Amino acid sequence: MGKDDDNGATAKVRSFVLRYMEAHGTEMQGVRTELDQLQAILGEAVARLTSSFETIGAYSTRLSQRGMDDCLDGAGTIPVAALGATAGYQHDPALLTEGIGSSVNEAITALQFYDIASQILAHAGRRIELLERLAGQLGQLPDTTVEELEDVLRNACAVRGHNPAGQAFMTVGAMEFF
Amino acid sequence: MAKTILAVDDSASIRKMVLFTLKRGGYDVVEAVDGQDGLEKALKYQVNLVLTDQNMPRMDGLTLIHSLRELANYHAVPILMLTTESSDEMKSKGRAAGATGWLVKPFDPSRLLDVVRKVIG
Repeated sequence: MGKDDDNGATAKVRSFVLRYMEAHGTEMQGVRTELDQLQAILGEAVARLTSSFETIGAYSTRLSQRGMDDCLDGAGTIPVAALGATAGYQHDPALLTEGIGSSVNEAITALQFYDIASQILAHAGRRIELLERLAGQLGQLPDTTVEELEDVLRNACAVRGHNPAGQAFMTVGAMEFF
Repeated sequence: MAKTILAVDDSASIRKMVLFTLKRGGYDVVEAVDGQDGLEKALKYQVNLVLTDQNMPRMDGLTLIHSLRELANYHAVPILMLTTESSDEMKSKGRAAGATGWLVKPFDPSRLLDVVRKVIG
């Protein structure tokens, strides 16, 4: 194989690597944009949900208090039919209070999804940052050295960091006293 | 007089959920947006319990615990970690720093109140 053939092959590889890196960069930018979009949508949604939750929580506290007051005043039943409550609730203020309290607790647990989701998204962002760094080095081939590439790989864990949110489900977390 | 709890978390939604839960339980709550803010609030208000997240900007939860344990008036104040972190390694660091307990998110309000009552009454 002659020197001209070698140069031609190297030029082809360099051209391919450059086109590959361009496509890679475009897609990575797209992933980053979509993660940012997801974070923004989740943020807005959770802000609205939290605000609505606070209003509902305040109403439910007042409603259960009013129900108790009605019972104490001798009115007998709680006017909760409009809320779709079961017949049992209408005749038992304790059941109503328990039902509201249980639903509020469920909502509080579920609404914590945003904190967990944000941490997972941030970790995904660090993975993208690492891939971009690796791609940046590869894009400089053949000028970059193998040692430089290995250095990036060696430091990969430090750049990425560990995922602080290992939760796969929204089940209540464990508790431990020291 | 109601006991006061310092709730430290950079997530506004978590702070609101913690605030809602603890107020329903009859406690006063002071909020802080990160460890640094938590340390400043702890110096400003003498609280009965600190409930802190781990991963926060400026100062994380473990550094906050270290800083608080160096203060004479926080030497014996209970500090609970409330975090997404659940690894044994992180828990060991928490214990070494002086944490009283470790709660993994998401928390259940009733269980959180039970723990708080158990710790400060």
